[in-house]
Amino acid sequence: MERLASITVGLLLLSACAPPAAYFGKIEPPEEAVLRVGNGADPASLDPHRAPGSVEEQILINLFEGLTEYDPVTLEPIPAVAEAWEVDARAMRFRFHLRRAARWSTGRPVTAWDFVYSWRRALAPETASPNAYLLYYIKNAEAYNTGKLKVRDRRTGRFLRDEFGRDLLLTAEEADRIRRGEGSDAEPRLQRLRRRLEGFVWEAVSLRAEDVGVRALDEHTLEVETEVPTAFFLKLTSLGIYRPVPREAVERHGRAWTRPEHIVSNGPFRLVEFTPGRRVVLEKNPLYWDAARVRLERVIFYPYDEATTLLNLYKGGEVDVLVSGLLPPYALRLLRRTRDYVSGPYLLSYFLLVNVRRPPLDDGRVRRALALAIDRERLCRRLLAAGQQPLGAFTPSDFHGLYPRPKGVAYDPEQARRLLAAAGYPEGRGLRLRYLYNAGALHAQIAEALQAEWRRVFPQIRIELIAQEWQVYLETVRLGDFDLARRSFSADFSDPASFLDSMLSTSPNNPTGWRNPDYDRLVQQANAEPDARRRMALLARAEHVLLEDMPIIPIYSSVASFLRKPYVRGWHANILDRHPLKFVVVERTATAFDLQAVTRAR
Amino acid sequence: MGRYVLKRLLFALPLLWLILTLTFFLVRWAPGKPFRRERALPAEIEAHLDRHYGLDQPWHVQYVNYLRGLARLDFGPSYRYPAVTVRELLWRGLRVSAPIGFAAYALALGIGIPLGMGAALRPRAVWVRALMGLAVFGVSTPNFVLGPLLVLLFSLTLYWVPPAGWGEGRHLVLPVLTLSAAYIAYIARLTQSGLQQALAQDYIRTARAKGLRPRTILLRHALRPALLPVLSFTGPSLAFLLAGTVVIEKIFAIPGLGHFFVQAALNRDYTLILGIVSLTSVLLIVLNLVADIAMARLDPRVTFR
Repeated sequence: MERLASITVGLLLLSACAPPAAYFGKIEPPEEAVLRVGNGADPASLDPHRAPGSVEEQILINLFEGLTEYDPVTLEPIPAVAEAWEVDARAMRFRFHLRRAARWSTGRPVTAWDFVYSWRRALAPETASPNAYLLYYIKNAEAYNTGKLKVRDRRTGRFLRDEFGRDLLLTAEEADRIRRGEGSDAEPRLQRLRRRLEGFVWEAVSLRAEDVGVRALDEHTLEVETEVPTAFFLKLTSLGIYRPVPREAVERHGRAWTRPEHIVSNGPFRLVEFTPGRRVVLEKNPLYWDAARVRLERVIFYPYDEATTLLNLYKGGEVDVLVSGLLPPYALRLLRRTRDYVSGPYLLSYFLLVNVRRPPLDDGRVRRALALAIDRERLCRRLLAAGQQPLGAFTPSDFHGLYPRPKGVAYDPEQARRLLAAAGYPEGRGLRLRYLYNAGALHAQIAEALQAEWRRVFPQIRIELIAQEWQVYLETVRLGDFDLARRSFSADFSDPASFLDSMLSTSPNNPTGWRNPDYDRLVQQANAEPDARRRMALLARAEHVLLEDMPIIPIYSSVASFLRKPYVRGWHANILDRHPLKFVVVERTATAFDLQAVTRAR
Repeated sequence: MGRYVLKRLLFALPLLWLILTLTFFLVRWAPGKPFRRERALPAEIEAHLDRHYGLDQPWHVQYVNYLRGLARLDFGPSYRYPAVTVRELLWRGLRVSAPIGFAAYALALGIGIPLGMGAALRPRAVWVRALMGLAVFGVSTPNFVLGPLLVLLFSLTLYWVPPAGWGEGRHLVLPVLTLSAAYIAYIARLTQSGLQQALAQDYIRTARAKGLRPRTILLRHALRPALLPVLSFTGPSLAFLLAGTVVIEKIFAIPGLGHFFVQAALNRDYTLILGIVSLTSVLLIVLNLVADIAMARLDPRVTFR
């Protein structure tokens, strides 16, 4: 039904539309310094530690200020609550000097203790934070969060390490069973652990909040110790989960502390309204240390998820900017010609998960043949109008040339045919695969296009397309009941590790059944490598291993694409689609924003 | 009459219980869980969340706990919005959906009844035929087509009213128009046939013979029985309108009960689904009862039993 609605409006929009290279719809800056953002969904929570994703992040990075803030263009860390920092040579000890002027909205200064409290809370098992794993780089954080035990050598008093130089982690059950000498050959992990512990007098130690590697040296100095060298730690400190929460409000109001009447925050804006389904309203925080710089008085986030409705609101001048990914695909070709359209690289890979646990896809040749048979250029050109790029590797970017990304697969039908014939399926005869995706116009189109691509190269292949409702799809993927399943993955922070970590054998985001010890070792080694260039080289080698085995079939890398009214300045396309509103301006004066001129010019 | 009302309400209780029980187990039976998202959670964290919300308990324990809470009118916390309770969401949703529903139905009555009367009294008049044609267009055009058409005309071409949103009076215009369009023709037709029947009755001829004014005959003697079908149609229609209309709320981005119902189902927000189902059921039962009582008031032939 909704699809019909979008098509109706879509057709009418297209027919009633303006000549190319004009602005789209009404251009009238709001009366006051208000920015109205189409944000795509309601925030599930505005608690930085409980917020699951980018919808929430978009709002809460403006409410809570971290040690560092995102640069609005490059997303590199810039000073925020921390005005300066030092890193030791091994990238394991980070010292932050906090700004004395930083204040909570109650007037209380923001201190190093606030960060200690906050990070411990984020990691506390009771908090059940969905993003706690982003803090695991901090010493003892993972052990405290998951309740796992570290192993202490009683003779030296030191923790034992695993083969990657990280402290060894055991579950309580594993520790017990190793002590009792249990564990059959069917449990290689237990075997390995037992071998590792042989000859040691050891004890299993559980870690508490106080053991987490974050300390306040004094009120304005925070010291962080990481588990292993973490050269990219400063890319993490701008993430939502690293931002501080106000102890007094959290302890007094419990789960309700983020309600507008209770919330205390330290960012450039404060929350004045949250009406589920309707809007979230922020207002400038007068106590913010850099308030002079903040030009917006109010910001309204609309949660509407219906792409056509949002587009209508934008055209009608009720919304000033949309976050990326909310434009209806049917209108993209038209919208790309308007001057409102902004696009740029975005760290999101669209790929297929391959179930390597069962035939025929347990055979690497079949996986590779399927990957080689896709003409990604054609797919992107025909189907994806926002400027998505064909993707042969897992990571969608070379990170400004810093990352020697492997080339990956390219279209090679000859080779594909040969491989599949060698695997016993000449022309795809006898090959039946179930392709799983979540119901949605774009995913269905891609699935059909891929089906056609494969059929072109292997005329006898049979691909069964299975569309499922979102939650059912998630469950089916989790249970591994698929041959191929579509998936997209966007980075948490701008680093290849954000992608590659997800394919570790221990990652909950790897439902393919693929595990490769070489891959795990290379990624872990890279994550502990202090030298940035060597680290990137190791990651690239890991990605190469991944692409050799092909437990995923890359399809395309996405782009950030959205609409922005001409009077909005400081909202840029960037690779994570993060927009700190501190830097955004709505121009209303005739000189800064000459509406007449723009309209006449085209 | 008091006894009658009491009896109806007592009969409604087991019905409510049945609806709730079915819903409770059906939603848990559906694949998925409230906290599942594209990024999978580590097993330990999912276990913590389950424990926090009591989802680690067996279904029958959860069920008993839920009914206990419900007895105190406590619908529990929403899984999707941890800082908000289901009761609060229901109240907010109702405060949005109910005005739209009322306004739409009032508009439908306000146009539909006079139109139906016109059609019964002057079936050949040009204005009657034109308006009737329009009403039939309204009822035969699905609202997900009519809504966008109105948006295109009034919001994106003329820029008179906003295309979507909620909070000010101007946001009401398009959803109310769209929603009432489906009811105008129904009401007009019901009024028309009711009135034609009533006018053919013997007591109307008697009234005419007595020399009553045509106006009095029409308004007091003919219209009252003629509107009975409209009234019995009103109960369930109004209940559905007040409980939120999924498609309209989606097209016009209205944060009403229909919107929350869809979201809750998609997110597997168990408590919110149950809350909305119970609210809708109660509304339906109560409004049907009210319609029946009003019928009895209007029609002396109907008695309470």
